[in-house]
Amino acid sequence: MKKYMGNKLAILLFIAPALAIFILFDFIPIVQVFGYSFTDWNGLTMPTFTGLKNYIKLFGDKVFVTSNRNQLIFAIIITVYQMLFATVFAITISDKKMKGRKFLRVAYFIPVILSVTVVCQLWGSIFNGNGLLNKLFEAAGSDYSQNWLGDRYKAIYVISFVNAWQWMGYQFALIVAGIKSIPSDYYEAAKIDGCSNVRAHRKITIPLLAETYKFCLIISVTGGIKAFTEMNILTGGGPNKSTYTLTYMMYNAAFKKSDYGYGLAAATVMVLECMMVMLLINFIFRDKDQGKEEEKSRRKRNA
Amino acid sequence: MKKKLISTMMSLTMAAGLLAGCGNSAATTTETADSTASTEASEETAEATAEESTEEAAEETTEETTEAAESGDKVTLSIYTQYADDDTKVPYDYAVEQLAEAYPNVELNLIVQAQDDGQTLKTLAATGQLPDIYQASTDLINTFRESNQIMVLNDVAQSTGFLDKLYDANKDLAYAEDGNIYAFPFSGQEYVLWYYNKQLFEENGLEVPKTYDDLKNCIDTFTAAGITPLALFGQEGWNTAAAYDVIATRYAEGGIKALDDQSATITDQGYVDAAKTMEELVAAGLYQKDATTTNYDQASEMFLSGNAAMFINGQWYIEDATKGLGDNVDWMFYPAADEASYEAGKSAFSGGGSASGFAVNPDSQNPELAAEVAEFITEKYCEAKVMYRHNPLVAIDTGKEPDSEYPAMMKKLSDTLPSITSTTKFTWGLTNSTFNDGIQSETQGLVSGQFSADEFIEDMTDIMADMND
Repeated sequence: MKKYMGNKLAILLFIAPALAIFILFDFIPIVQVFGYSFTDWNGLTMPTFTGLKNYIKLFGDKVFVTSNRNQLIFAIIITVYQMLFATVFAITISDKKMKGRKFLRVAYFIPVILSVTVVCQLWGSIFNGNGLLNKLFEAAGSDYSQNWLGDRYKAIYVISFVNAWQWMGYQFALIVAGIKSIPSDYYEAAKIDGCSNVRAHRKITIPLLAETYKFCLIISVTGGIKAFTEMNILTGGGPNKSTYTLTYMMYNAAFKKSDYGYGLAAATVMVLECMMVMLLINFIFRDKDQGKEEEKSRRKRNA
Repeated sequence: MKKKLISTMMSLTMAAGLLAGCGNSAATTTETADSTASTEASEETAEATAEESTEEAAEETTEETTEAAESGDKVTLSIYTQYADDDTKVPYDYAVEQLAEAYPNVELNLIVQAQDDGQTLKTLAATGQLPDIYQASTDLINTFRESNQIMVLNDVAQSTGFLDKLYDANKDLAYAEDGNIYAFPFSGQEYVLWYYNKQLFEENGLEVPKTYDDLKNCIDTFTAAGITPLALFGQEGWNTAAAYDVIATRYAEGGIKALDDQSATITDQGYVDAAKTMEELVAAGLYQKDATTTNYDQASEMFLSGNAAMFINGQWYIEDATKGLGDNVDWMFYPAADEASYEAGKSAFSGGGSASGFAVNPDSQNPELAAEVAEFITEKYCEAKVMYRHNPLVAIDTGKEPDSEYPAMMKKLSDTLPSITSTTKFTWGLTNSTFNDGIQSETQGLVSGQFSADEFIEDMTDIMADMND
């Protein structure tokens, strides 16, 4: 292994394909998005440079504020829901004495393999005006029928729930895999010391899953920032753009108004927000001990 | 060993699939090259193709083209158009049938139009894959004009006699702002109609409302009877814009058209009054609570099944409404603030024609043939609409008669037509995309009952300020 790692040509050969694909399909398009965001462009003709005009307009747009607020709500709801339930369910089924764990493991994951459209149609028929939920309230004699998807304030919570419900199983699978990689000796030792099950999971499972949680947090939060499909299918971004996100702003500007420059300015802000969130999460979850050791070895080298 | 064998077999299958995919693409190219053959335009196209391709490929194409021309092979033209319900399927099927007789060597490859505000077409245009013939709205015509991806059809319109067949009232529909013809329109002047279920009105002892006070009385009565007063399909922004326009035209004749061409502003008293009236009607319960998430099928079903007393849609719905409700359905003149305004407003309708229709891709392999076929199809669409959809409101004089009597509602509309002095526009006929997007979402907000008239006016003022950006 050392032999390979010492060979720079081998390293280059191994990383070249992935690097080429990344540059071609990620880096260059992102740079292009950034470049075109400073132009007036309809997607077909030659763009005209307009400086910061699109950004000034974007930051003064009421929908921009609504979109960011929605992204924040969406990210918080799906993060809390998914991480909380995924952890509880994963810990529950990791108990080998539990009956039906195989069935539950499959059941929790099933929504993930369904198409988003199917899931949205399913929940759409539950939440619409004459849908199952309102009918249940009626049947129970309650007058709590709501316009779940047509309410400018409530709709975003409903949409977030649909997304959280569908993708919880994905995080559940990651956490189950993480728990499996923890040696059972730790739990045995804890048990001998008189530690309860809950305390053992709090002191052993959760701290050792830090890397898994970091990954889960990144996909949840960036998923919230990039949200689009659910609102497009369930509410069409309405009523009156109250369930818009930056992705929806980009889509609307580019494809409905042929204003690609403005749409790409929204996309640029979204990319920057995703990057900032990733940096922040990486900073929060940074390995402090590793940092200290690196510092020590640096001092040694300098000495 | 067994695993290795299976892996090898799978890899080979995948490789074969990959090759088959590439092979298919090559076959398509050949087919397209073949298809250039049998028209007069083919030589020019083959030359154009030859210039762009490598020398070898060009020679190959020319050889194939000549061979194909001699053998009289079929030319396949791709067409992007609506094909969703009877109103779109019947005319298309009739046009294809007629085309087979008039142009036996032309075949159409239908690409069904997506209800996506033209984004599929714009994407196809951006990647140079526009179909030979496509149905273009005013917005698309304006966009493609800038990028030279829409053919000027002035000569074809002249040579085929299309211009002579156009009704005088529809002459304007053929021409774009720059005076050129970019699309052959098949729809004439169209109107937003306020349909109502006569039986439900009679059963509940109600008369057709003339004023908003009458309408509020109807709302109260229907709501008490567990009937939705008016089913709106507010998921489609044009329907909420039409719902606002039928009120706005009672106060300001120009309706949303005058806002679009900026001859009026949203702060004009008429538009403010219209917004406040709509706010009141929404609060009274005119539309169903979840109107903004209701689609056309759901709303139409509510109306046709007698669960809703009124419905707002274009005149093209007459056929379906008559089929569903027979003699129990009719349309009413839009209610107004008072009886005098009601009577005066009978000549002002929401809706209108738009410069949209079948357009041609100038980069088509057979542009001249495609233009001829587009004109032919347009004529046949009009014929089918008159004969089988009982809709005389088409762009040209077809000289055809319907296969059965016009429905009573269409007769009533035909009798009213001479007295109509002003129309507005459907959203697809609006010229400013910023305004179009704004009026659809803002009226949706009003319909939801969660945005006030003041918010509507304030937001629309901002949107209108952005219109010339």
